[in-house]
Amino acid sequence: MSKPYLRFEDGKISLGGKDLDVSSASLSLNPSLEPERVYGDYDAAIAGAKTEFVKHAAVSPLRGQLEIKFLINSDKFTTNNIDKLFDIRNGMNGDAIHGNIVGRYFFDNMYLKSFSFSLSPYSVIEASASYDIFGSVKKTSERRFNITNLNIAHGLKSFGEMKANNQSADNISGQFEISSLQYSIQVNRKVHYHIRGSEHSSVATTANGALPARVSLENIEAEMSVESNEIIPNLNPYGDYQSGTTVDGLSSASLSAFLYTLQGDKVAKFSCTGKIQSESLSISEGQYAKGNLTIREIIK
Amino acid sequence: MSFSNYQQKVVIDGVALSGVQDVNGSYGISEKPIRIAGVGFVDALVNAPLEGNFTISRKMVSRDPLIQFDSLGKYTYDENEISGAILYENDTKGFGFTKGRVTRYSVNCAVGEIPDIQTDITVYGDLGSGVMTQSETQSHPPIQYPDQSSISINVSDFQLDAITDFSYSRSLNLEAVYAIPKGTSSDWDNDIDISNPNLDPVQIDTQYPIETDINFTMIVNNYQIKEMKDKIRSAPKSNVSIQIKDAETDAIINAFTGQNVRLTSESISSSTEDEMTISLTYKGYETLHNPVS
Repeated sequence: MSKPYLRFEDGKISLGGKDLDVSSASLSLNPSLEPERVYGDYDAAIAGAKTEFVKHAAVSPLRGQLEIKFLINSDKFTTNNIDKLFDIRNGMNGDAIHGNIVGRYFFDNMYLKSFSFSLSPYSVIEASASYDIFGSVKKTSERRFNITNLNIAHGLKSFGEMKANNQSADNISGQFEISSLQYSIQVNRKVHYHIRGSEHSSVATTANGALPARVSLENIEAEMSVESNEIIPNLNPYGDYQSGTTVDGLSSASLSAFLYTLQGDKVAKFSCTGKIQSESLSISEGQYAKGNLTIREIIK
Repeated sequence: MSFSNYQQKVVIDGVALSGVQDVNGSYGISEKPIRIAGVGFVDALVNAPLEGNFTISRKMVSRDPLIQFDSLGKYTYDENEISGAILYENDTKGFGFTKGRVTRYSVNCAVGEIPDIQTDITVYGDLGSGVMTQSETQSHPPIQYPDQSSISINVSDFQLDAITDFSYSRSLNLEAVYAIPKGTSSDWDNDIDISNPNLDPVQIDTQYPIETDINFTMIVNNYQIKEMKDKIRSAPKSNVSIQIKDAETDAIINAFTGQNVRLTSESISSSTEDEMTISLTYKGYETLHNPVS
């Protein structure tokens, strides 16, 4: 009996030639089409011309998206190599990630758009990443891979640290407990096409169509937020913790997440140093007072 | 080697309990199956805090050492942790727990029986062999037995007929807050264990109100069931008190009170073999600060 549908167990996800421990993936392609309507022949009944649909016209090159949720396995990400694979911090460049496989489909020309994860007590840490894809996808054979040692980042041993003006949050608020922590990094890119690049006849010889000549980095911003029992008091208009009488010499706030596996192996460290963008406190029936605090770092 | 009932001891908060009929301790680990595209199921990993349960069933043969009151007259177990263990082999081995919180306390009794006490405990700390294996440090209250003539129930707004059985229970909803482990960048840099792994909840709170349920069954004599719609319109509150006294000395062993409780259901039962009975159920709510009036 044939199996036209690909099973989860047989559809590996590989990005940049590296197999990832992906729990879910969503690949989509969206040609940008607009209907072209023109005035037709003369119609005596209306003493004029009616508009008529001619075709769908492509108004921009083919683009797609890939969104994945994956586990951060220490075997694949030795300490801080996660930065390199996902190209998410300093040293990020405009190079495309080629050699990507999602199930039975293969594609090139992929660029990281965002990366995030959340850390909460006793929970498996699941990360998310989304990518922009330029061009089309090709059919390939289904593939599997083996995991010999599952050693993934877990909330049991991973920890967080909050500082404001170089003081630990415990020193500022008494006892500062973080019930959950979120990290996200957003990359905005500018896509450059050659003028009239899409008009050359060679463009139509593959399904990819016109590809960008260059995808450059516009900006990178990281954001970290925590849900906690306290918020930072004495927040000044500059987003700093100010306990004294001057704003001079105040340091930015920082949040850090140190990811470890369940076995206690180091996986990766993520930090966000910048201004406190927002903090809030809420209390409602049947709940504790919950603080929420966000720090944003402008990386580029 | 096995251990008979006379070789075991149940110690809670330093007191070796008497009248224990059975004790059950258990814990469960909540796991998340890990499934990976292109591989399938790989493993299942812990994905929720570990919490255990301890249930103690006893006959009431003395003042209950678990029932203590604070300066405001509230049950201390409402807000405080308890610990304990089942000890055996001359108290050298045991299965115990720490950071336990009472989630339900109930007393049941029928004519001709010694009242039963059941205490349900949720464990937020350690649970298992070798935990809290310490002998009793406090003396047990003197043994006192009630009999059916020394147990009385009073309801503030009417005269009760003969009671055949009663039950009293308090249910506590607890909320445990967990936080992620706390460490510093120097812990990371120097590969040292973090000082605060936050394995236990950082806070455990009782969610008020605490619900009190009192139920008793009477043999019908003078009492008449109230008309349902009248009852809803008036919704009166009563005080119900249960006193369990020593059959010999008449000294109170344990007393339970439901303040401003409301009659929530009545049922009548008639059969060819038994006397006609009426069962009344009262429900009350205990608050943290502002008592229900």
